[in-house]
Amino acid sequence: MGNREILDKLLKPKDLSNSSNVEKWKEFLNAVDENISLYPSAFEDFRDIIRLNNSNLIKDEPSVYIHTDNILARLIDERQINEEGYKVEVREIIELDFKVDFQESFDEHFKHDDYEKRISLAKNPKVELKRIKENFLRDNPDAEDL
Amino acid sequence: MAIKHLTGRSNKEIWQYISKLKPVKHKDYYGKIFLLNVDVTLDGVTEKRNVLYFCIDNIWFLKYVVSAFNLELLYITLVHHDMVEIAKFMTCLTTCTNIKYIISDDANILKNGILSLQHKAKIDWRGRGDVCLYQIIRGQHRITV
Repeated sequence: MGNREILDKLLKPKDLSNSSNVEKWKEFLNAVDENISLYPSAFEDFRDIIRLNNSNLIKDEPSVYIHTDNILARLIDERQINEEGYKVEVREIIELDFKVDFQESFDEHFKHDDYEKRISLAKNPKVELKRIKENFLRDNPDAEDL
Repeated sequence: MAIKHLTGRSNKEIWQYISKLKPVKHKDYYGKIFLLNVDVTLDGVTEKRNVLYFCIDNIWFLKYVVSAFNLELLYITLVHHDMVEIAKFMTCLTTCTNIKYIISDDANILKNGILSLQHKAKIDWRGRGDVCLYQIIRGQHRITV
């Protein structure tokens, strides 16, 4: 499954009654290819775009830059970020939503999952890192330990 | 369409992970997803870019949702050597198995630590200013730039 299809199945415009948003979402999907970039914990920082802009680091510019972080307030509210050496202006914002139903009731299977344990791990990054490392080494026995 | 088909986890499971972990502050935007069409101006030149911004950022989200993409490029900055960031980086590397390139402004931690988990051989790297590009050759225990 290609990225375009994944995005199409995963997300949708939140306001489907806004035909302009729906149209722009479709245009965006048509432009998506397999060359996409991820920047976790990006905050309001666009170093990934800046670094790749007109650089020779990679052959082609990604068709979409995926950013994740807890906050986007300044960018959404002020629509502009000026940093030393570069400027980012938001021309359009389309709020999206997962194309899934999260309203289902909490099922029995999930109740008996090790969910609480996992949450605890996620809140303790040192434990989480150790767990990820152990799992990776288990799956990749030839890899060196740190 | 359920995310389950993409990630192997149920919708409820993913959502519970995300919602339980959300921080108190910034709640107005937390959990929202935006498609941003931005103009980026650098050295007087303006170019348009598409940014898909998930106002969600935790290991489980990366593992279960972002890993569904055929992700080839990872930009990571680990300048603070924060354990949470390292854990996220590890999660990306181990779950987004299509990653071919990593661009970073922190070569040392990548060189000396984390990537050695993934590949046995020494990591060669060269900086372009303060940025490094890593090309990962999976399955051959080798990384080149």
